[in-house]
Order: sequence, then structure tokens, then C-alpha cells
Amino acid sequence: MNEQPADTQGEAAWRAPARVLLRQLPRLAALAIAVMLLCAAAEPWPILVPATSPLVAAATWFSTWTVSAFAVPGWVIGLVACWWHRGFCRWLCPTGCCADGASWVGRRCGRRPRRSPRIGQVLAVVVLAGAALGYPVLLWLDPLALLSGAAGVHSGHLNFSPSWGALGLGLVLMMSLLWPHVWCRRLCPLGGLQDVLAATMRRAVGSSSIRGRPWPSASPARSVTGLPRRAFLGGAVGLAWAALLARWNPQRPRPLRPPGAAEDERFPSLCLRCGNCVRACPAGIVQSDTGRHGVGGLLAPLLSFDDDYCWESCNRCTLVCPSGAISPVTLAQKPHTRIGVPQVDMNICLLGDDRECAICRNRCPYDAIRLVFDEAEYTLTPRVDLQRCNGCGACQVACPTQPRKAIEIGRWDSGQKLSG
Amino acid sequence: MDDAMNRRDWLRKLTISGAAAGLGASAARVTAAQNPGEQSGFQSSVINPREVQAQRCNPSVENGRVLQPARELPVLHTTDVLVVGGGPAGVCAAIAARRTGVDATLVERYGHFGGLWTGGLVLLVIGHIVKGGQQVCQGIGEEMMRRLDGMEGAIVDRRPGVAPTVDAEAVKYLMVEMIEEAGVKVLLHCWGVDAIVKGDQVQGAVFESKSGRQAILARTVIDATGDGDLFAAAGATYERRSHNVGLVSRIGNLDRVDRGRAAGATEPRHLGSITPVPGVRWVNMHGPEVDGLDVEVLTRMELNHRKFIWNNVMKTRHTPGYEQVYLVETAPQLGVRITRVLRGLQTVTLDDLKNGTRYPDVIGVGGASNGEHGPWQIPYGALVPERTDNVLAAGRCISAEIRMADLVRLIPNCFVTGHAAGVAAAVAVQDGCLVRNVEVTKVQQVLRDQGAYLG
Repeated sequence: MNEQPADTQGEAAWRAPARVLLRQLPRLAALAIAVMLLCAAAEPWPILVPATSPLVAAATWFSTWTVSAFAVPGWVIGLVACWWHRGFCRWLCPTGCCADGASWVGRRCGRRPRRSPRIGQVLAVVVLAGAALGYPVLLWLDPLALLSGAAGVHSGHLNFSPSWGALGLGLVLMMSLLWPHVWCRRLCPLGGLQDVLAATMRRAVGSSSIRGRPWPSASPARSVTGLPRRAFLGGAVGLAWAALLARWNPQRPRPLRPPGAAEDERFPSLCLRCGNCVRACPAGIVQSDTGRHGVGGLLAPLLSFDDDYCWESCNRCTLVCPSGAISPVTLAQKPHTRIGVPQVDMNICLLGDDRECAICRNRCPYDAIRLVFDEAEYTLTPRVDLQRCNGCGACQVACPTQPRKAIEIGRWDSGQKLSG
Repeated sequence: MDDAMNRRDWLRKLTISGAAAGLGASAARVTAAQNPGEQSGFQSSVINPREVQAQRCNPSVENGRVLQPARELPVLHTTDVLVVGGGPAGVCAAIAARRTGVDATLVERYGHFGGLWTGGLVLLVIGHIVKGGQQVCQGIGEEMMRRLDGMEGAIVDRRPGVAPTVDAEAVKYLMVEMIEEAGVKVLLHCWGVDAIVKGDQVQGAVFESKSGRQAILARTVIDATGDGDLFAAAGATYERRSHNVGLVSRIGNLDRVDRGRAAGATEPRHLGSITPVPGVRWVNMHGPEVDGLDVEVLTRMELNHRKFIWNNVMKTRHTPGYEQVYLVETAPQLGVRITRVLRGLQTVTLDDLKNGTRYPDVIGVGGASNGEHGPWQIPYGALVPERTDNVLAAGRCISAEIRMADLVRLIPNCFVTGHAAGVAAAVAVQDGCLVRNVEVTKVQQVLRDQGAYLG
């Protein structure tokens, strides 16, 4: 019976699609702009879509103590949300627009909204509490990040990995089809954050000054009933999760991350899975993790040197990260920003078999490889000067051995960056 | 019986006395030069010391410096296109020039053709294919490979997309055959030591041989020495580089390795790869990175490497199962990879390879050493010195940046540049122009007619 008012509203929406459509116009426009930014615009503009989320802005600030200029819309919307409850959801949210579209179809197919706990509020607190310890876990559930990730389908690289980014938005749409409106009203952490903000303000300055009904419930008290309990629960879960991640040191091989990536313990938490870096990479080497490195890193970007290497002339992936998972790297800093360390297997290397090959040395953009004559073995061995090498993978791409490469970039685990 | 004995005795006495008389006679004829001993069957002549004195021009020590007086050199030969160096590039160049329709002379410092391919025992031919398996080395080089196909025991692993291995003796034989068919004038055991230059124009080359220091005059010279000896002597700008200098060898009886006994032991190193001769493998060697133009260094390399090879084969023989392995030979020629590199009108760069740059004056397409990248075009300007004229570079010393050195020096790429240099020199002779002014479209047309692949 609690859901009755929401149902009535939904019914009204169902009966008057024209009016609803008209109301959807700003959100449709926002959706169009978001898609344009994600697919067409050059970096760093795709950053604007996920950075517009106040949840991302706050979590980034908490976890990295840095504020990007692109986070300004996020802070503005966050401030507005304090005074205008769920205004963003109603008028701007492009993901909400998609979810409502799916909900509309779902309702047309006879599905009805179900009861659900207000998980979104818990999630928002989990994210922020985790962020306070440097691990904004579940931040990737942010609706704008989900939308951004889905744009990877259009990235132009015809491999499988970008399409994985659409998984999140696909689930949201599927959920909205099956249980109309449940995502926006109950599950979305950004919506939950707005609930929390508005409820806090209501308590601080009195309900009269807060614009907008506490959405979707008609009763202002309803949405905030039990909020302290949920906040406590979320905070405890977030802190515990972050503390666990900080301690947990899995032994599985870790993937290579884009240059400027945060240390790998924090990276999967910091990463929004927005797919901006995957799309930005002109070489197509930044790819979405399809779960080969554990569930924790699912859809986070990793580097694959199967077809190309990290160009010395490019820093695009580092300019489009909204969450600080990848810090900006200038082209001047790039040679000193470590991606990994080349490891040579002399059992495979052609030189170990006295064959003629110098392609790793000849292809190294930083002149970091020398072929040293080993008097004892009476043969050449590739030696890497780690002061020059940043692990760009040019040697691995060039190496002619099959199926495994004799020189491969491995993880650099004793510290992320070289000094200088 | 007695008669017979007497006759034999008499005959022996006669022979001895005749020989003694002949010796006495030749000792007496002190002034007669160039007079072969017709009756005895021996070929000999005696040189008049005074005549020698007249031709002599010995260096002398003046104030601690060794000086050589100016002297006139005998002209051994005059030709249209003179190719110095009979390696893969030089042989292709001489044949190409002759086939284009001009006189061609090929001068080689050793007693055989093929350079490092044969004398250096670099038997594995890599660099003719690119990523995807396309073969870019065509023309005279591919003609050689096809003819090796038809010879017995001359080549193995000749399949599409695979690097074949040849037999050095088969290649030496084939090269002579093709050079003779083409009608190229050949001089072996001649070491090109200097360029004959007027202003910036090369007019021929000077050679040292057992015949002494002699000159060959030519309308165009192709420097296929590998070390760029000729263009360097002519004053062309070049870059001097160090690279690995090794010594290749062949080992035998690898088909008699007792696998059962060898199973437990660690496999010996430096066992090389197969050759067309059963049981014989060729063993490559990288060697240290040194200056291949320093004779002290070359000497040290030769001595060290030979010692290592012998000791390594002994080590192999002491491995269970490998007792019958033996050293067939060390290469007659030291494996010098890169020394001088021309500064040409154009330079082949790695970026051009990566970008797939196409040149209007393309004269050939290079391949990849292990099929790891696509084709790369070689412009005519990479063979032409910046300033010095009437000399073209062919082979490993063409104008290429250091990152390309390991591609330019590959045998098939030497075929390609040699073929192009030969045709270009011949066209320049036919048109009566300098090689830098040659009509490249005409060169390209002739190259295509001769089966070359230009992309």
C-alpha cells in the first residue's frame, strides 16, 4: 500500500504519454548532448558526462583530494540538489530518460512497479564512506558512468571489449523493463545521494525551503524515514569494504593499466568504468577487462599489447578520466610515467638461438634497449635500461616470436611511477 | 735385356743433362724477360732488375713519415658500368646493367662471388617476405632463388612464407653461371682501394691485386663493397657505425646424434639450423659490437671467434650423444654487418616503414626480417650520394637511418638495391647523363621489365 501514490503517478504517465513526452524534452536534449560529447567530441570533453554527477565529484574529491575543473557541474548540481530535491533526476538525467523509456515499455507490457528497499541511499553512503578511505567502491554504479560506458560500443575499434561497457546500462534498462521505475526510485546511488542531501537540508533548514516533492513518494516524511539507519549501514559497509580492500592483496596476476593510473589496489575502486579512456585510445590498446583478472576489476581499463603499443605521441586516455583513477600525464611526463617493465625470456628470444633479430631495439621509441654481447654465452642479450624505458610495449608488439613473445611487459609492483 | 737397361739409363742421363742445360741457359739469359721455357713445359720468366727499378715507386721514410711518390697506374680495363664488390648486391647490379644493354665489369676481392652470403656462410635467406606472407623480393634475386630450386642440394625450406637456406657452393656456382650468361667482364682477386675522381665525378676505381695497383676506367661506378669503400674514397658523405661482428661456421654429423643418450643431458648451445647438406648445420654468431673498419679489431675478432668456435664444438662433442659432431669449417669471411652508410639524397627511415611511405622514385620494396611488418619502399635517392656523382651505393651501405640498418643489410634487400643500381647506372650510360639526373620513370620501367617488384 505504501507504493500506491507512486503507482497512481505511473498510471497517469501511462495514460498521458504526450504530456510525459513533453516533460521528457529537457532530458532527451541532455541525452542527445551526452551522446554527442561521448561519441563525437575530442578529449577532454567526454569527461563532462560522468563528471556532471555530484556523486562522482564528491567521491573523487574524498578519495584523491584533487578537484578537476570539469567537476564544477557536478558540484553545482550537488548544491542545487540540496535545495531542489531530485530536480536533476526529473529534468536532466539522461540515464533516467533511458530507464524511464524502458519502464514505459515495461508498463505497456503489463509489468507493475514492485516494492523495493531504498538501496540507492545505502549505496551513496557506501561510495562516500569508502571514498573517505580512498576506495570509492561501487562508484561505477553512478548512472552517468553507466551511460558513458555504454558509448564504448561506438568507439570504432572492432574488438569485443568496448561492448562490455554497455553491460551496466543494459542491466538498468532490463531492470526497468521488468520492474518499471525501480532503478531510478530505489536503486540509483545518485538518486539516493540526492535523497540524503535533501533530507539533511530539510532537517537543517526546515522542509519549507526545500523545493520539490521527495520523489517518488508523495509523503515528504516517507523517503527519509529510516535514513539514519541506512546511512549508518552504508557507512559501515563502505568503511569495512574499503578497509578490506586496503588489506587484501590478491596473488593473481594484475593487469597493466594505462599510464598515470593509480596504484592497482585502489584502481578498480576509483575507476568508474565510464569507458572514456577505452574510447580515447587511438591505438586501441586500452581495453575493458572482461573479467580475466577477477570480478573486482571487471570492465576497468587494462592495456593489451597484442596489436599496438602506447604511442609516445599520445596522452589522450589520461585526459578523459573523471574520477582520478588515471591522472593527467603530459607528453613531457610520459617518458617517465611507468606502465610496466619488459621481461625477456631468452629461451624464446631469437637471439638466444643465434638468429638475426634486433627489432625490439630498433623499435624502442625511447632507445632503452641495448643488445649486449655476453662473452660467456657468446651471444647477444637484450638489456633494458629502466631509466629510459616506461614500458610502452613497442618491443612486445614488434617481437616476432609466436605464440608467446620473447619480450613482454610485466607489472611494475614496487611503485607506480619513476621519479623525474 | 741389357740393351733395354742401357737404353733406359741413357734416357735418364739425357733428361738430367737436358734439365741442367736448360737451367744453365735460363741462368745465362739475364736480359730476356717474358720468355716462357717452351721446351721444358715450365712457365717462367725473369724480370730485369733495372726495368723493375724504373717502375718502382717505393714509399720511403721522410722525417719519420712514410711517403709514397706520385706514380702512373696502368689502366687494366675501360668499361661502361663498373661494379665493385661481388656480393648479392654487386652480382645483381652487374647482371642488371649488362641485361639493360651496356658493358659491365664486376670486380671482386675474393676468389668467388656471393660475399657474405657464400664467403660469410650466411646461408639463411631472410627478408624477402612481409607480414601476411607476400614476397616482395622479385627480379634477379628471385631468379637466382628459382634457379637454385632447380639445382640438386642447393636450397631447402623453399616454401611460401618461409625463410629458405642455401648451400654456399651452389650459390657460388650459380652466380658464375648467371654472370657468364649475361656476359659480364669479371675480375677476381682484385681489391678496390681507391676511386678515380675529377671534381665530384667518379671516373673509375683503383685496384690492388697480384698484378699490382691498376686502374679501371668507367662511365659509372656502383659501390657494392658493403663497406662503402668506393664512395668514401670518392669523398661522399657517410656515417660510420659499429655493429656486431661475428664468424659463422658449419658443423657436421648432427644427424648422427644419439637421441637416446642425449635425452638426459642439457642440449648444447650454438647448434645452428639446417643446410641443404644432410647432417650439416650452419651456426650463426652475433659477436660484439665493434668498428668493422679497424683492422686491429677485425684481427682480434677473427682470432677470438675461431677459438670460441673450436672450443664450443669440443664442448658439444663432450655432451653425451653428440660425440660425432665435428667442425666442418669456419667462414672464410668475417661477418661484418654494418660499417659505413651513405648519406644519400634520401634516407630510408623507420617512420617511413611504419607509415608505409610511398615514393615517386621507388626502385624496390624491402621485406621484413622475420615477417613482423609490412613492405617498405626504397627510393632511388637512397642510392645516390648527396654531392659526389657517377657513383651509386648498393647493398647494405645505402642511405638508411640506424634503426633500419638491420633491414637494409638483409640479403634479399641487397638483391633489390643491387638490381636497381645496375639498371639506373646502365640507363645513365645509355642516356649519357649523370646518375643523379637519370630519368627515374625509365629506370622503373626497365626494372619492371626485368621482373622487379616496385609495390
